[in-house]
Amino acid sequence: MIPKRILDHVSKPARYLGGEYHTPSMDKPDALKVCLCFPDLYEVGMSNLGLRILYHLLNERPEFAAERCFAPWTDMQAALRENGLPLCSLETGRALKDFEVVGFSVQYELCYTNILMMLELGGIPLLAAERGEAFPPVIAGGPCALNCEPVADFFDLFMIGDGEEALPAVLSCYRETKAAGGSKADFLERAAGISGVYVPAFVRPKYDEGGALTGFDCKFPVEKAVVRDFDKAYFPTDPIVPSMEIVHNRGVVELFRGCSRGCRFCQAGFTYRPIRERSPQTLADQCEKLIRSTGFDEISLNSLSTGDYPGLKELLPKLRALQEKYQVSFALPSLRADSFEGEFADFARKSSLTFAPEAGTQRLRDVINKDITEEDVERCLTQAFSLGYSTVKLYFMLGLPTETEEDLRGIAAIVARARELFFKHRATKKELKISVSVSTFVPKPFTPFQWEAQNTREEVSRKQDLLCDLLRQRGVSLSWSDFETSQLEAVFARGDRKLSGVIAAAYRKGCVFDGWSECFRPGLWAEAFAECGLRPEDYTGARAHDEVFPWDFFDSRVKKSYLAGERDKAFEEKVTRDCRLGCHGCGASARGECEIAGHPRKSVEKSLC
Amino acid sequence: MLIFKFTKTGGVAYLSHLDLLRTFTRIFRRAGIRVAFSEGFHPHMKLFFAPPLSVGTESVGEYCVADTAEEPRAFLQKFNACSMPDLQCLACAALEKKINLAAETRAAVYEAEFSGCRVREAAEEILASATYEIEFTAKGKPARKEVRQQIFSLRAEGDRLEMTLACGEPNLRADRLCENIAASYGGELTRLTRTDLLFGPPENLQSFSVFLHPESPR
Repeated sequence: MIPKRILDHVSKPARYLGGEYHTPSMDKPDALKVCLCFPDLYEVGMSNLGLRILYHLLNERPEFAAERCFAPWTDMQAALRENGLPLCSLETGRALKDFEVVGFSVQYELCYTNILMMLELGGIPLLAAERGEAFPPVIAGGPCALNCEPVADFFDLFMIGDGEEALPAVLSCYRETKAAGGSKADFLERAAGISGVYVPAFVRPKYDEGGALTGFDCKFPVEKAVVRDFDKAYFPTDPIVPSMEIVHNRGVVELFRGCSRGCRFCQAGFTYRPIRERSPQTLADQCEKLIRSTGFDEISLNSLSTGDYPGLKELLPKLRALQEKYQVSFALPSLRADSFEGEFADFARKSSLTFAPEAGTQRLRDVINKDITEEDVERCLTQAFSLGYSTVKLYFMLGLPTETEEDLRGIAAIVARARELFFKHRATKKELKISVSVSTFVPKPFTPFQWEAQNTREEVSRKQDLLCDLLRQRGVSLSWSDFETSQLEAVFARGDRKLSGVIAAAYRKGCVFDGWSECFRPGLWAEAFAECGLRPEDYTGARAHDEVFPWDFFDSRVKKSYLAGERDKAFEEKVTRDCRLGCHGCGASARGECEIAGHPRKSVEKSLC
Repeated sequence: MLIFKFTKTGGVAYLSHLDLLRTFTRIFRRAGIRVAFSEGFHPHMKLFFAPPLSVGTESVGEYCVADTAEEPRAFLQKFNACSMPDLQCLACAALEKKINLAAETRAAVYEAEFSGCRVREAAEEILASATYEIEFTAKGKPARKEVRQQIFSLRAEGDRLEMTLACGEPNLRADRLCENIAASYGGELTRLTRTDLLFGPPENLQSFSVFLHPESPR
């Protein structure tokens, strides 16, 4: 327990205390002691579904005792350092270095320095090569594990893909290796054979004289782990109920994994394939158990595109019954275009409506394969305004491949049309509020746009200025992402192992919580790049068609040739239909795991998110 | 209508009043205890509390009035089965009519534990003086306040200090008083617990526990 004199003087001390309802007992003397770390604040990490699933999955088994540790905010970091206290787990107050295995969930690129901060405060040397037998293996999973080369030097092992089966397999492997008197190296050697496991020490990237990547020395094949029977896969129905406010403070069920839409900029849309679904009955049972065991008054039905769930018609009456019985509400994060006519209306009653056209013209939406037309948006806005809505959020991306000024003017045209429709159909005295959010495009690995350049600083600033001018209208607010943040994200997203040095240098200079604008220090990052003899621009430019990527040794199921074909279609402004209408052979269904591949549907609903 | 006495100790002491409210709502939902909801656009459970504790101050003597038809003994059992060890119901009784805890609270009793502080000297000097000014930080700014009239009693015993302080309107925060004592008389505050809440005229303060029947289970 952290002393009162510290807790009394930090912001939100409840972040560091644990003891929430449903915290499992750690009184399992023979269990393997694992710490699951999340390199962001408690309120962010506790909202993460992946961490929730893995934490409870491990603790339900007698052979594992999994605890949690979140990144301490700057005031707590300073207090721990001043008082010479280590960073500890919430459950038993054990320092990270005293666990048998330490795992990180790595959700976004801008948390990399927080990983180093947590390792250091937890008493663990930063570099895997310097840790030896005295320290626990440090492992990681999550979306960033897909291209983990920039942080490869800090980890012993990565887990790629679904963790439900892979994580217990890796931990059992560690237990067995240790019980047989094996070393950490023996464990890594054995674990490397498990599906979804990548041991950076066994993959050596090869560079030519100019520093360009030419290939890999690979000791083991590396492929993504895929849970086959998703309907029966483990799901926690009595999760920890946080006592303090967190970002998503509600129960969650997961409708399906994967996405059939194939938006060409979207990494999740390709890397969570093959598509696997839960049955409406399983979901309704999970919802009821969650409500009874947690007391949450809201349950969120999560997936990458909830309107696409084919069992929705069967599920909704079941949810309506639960709504009556327990006085709870259900949130459907991705709204369907026709939801106002349909059964969702009172399920999804919200104060504001969100649309993500992503691009301002039909031409550019065809390039990115975003299946929304102006008519879809107009029809939905008309319905919404006549129902009394007055607040609309619109999401766009700036700097997409082939973008011209006309596409940016298209954004302003959509906003102008929304205003027109509001004044024509308004059913409220409230003033119209349109929030336009424009993020800068970041090319991501395992997408058709993985070869594309990110816009330069000059291009981004010119485009942002233009949008500011175009959208200076009453009732319209514009927000955008700052260039340095998007650039850093782009560098790491497609980065290689040489970047480990930059991350360590930036951390040494004081960079932490880079995703938090109040903490982000672009000047220090610039110094760190310069010291390592690297430039961010080396990573954000266009890549050659035949270029070897740092993540090419790794099989994500969707074939590189398929992504290249999608890229060609993008430049021809040709769309690829939703794969629920017919399989395009992306490769994800090669082993028969994609549940929609064999069952083409006649039509799919439009999604606006 | 029920009144119940509860604890807020350990880590739960660091929950804000808003967090506590949400936690109660969830406990009732888990326990299947039906509490009446308010009317209006944002219906909420009809729960009425005494003046909230400062974040970080523990308590073994909090009170809450709930608009429920639940039988007191069943309420206590169900509540405790669905709550955390640091948030437990100690006693519960039916009320004929609602008590406005927030408006009627006049004083609170605290027990402070110090380490290395001249506690007896502090108590004697403060009580002997007609004035006592404390310094604290409010909203990031240093502030001062005269509080002697809000200190009803101080009793030192070893490293402990039992205090009865004004609570409600006017109000004296025990944590601020203790930090000033530690600053003037050495050492540090290691634990602070509210033990009871009192109502009635200054010359005859009474504990809200008089509303809890003596036969209530402990």
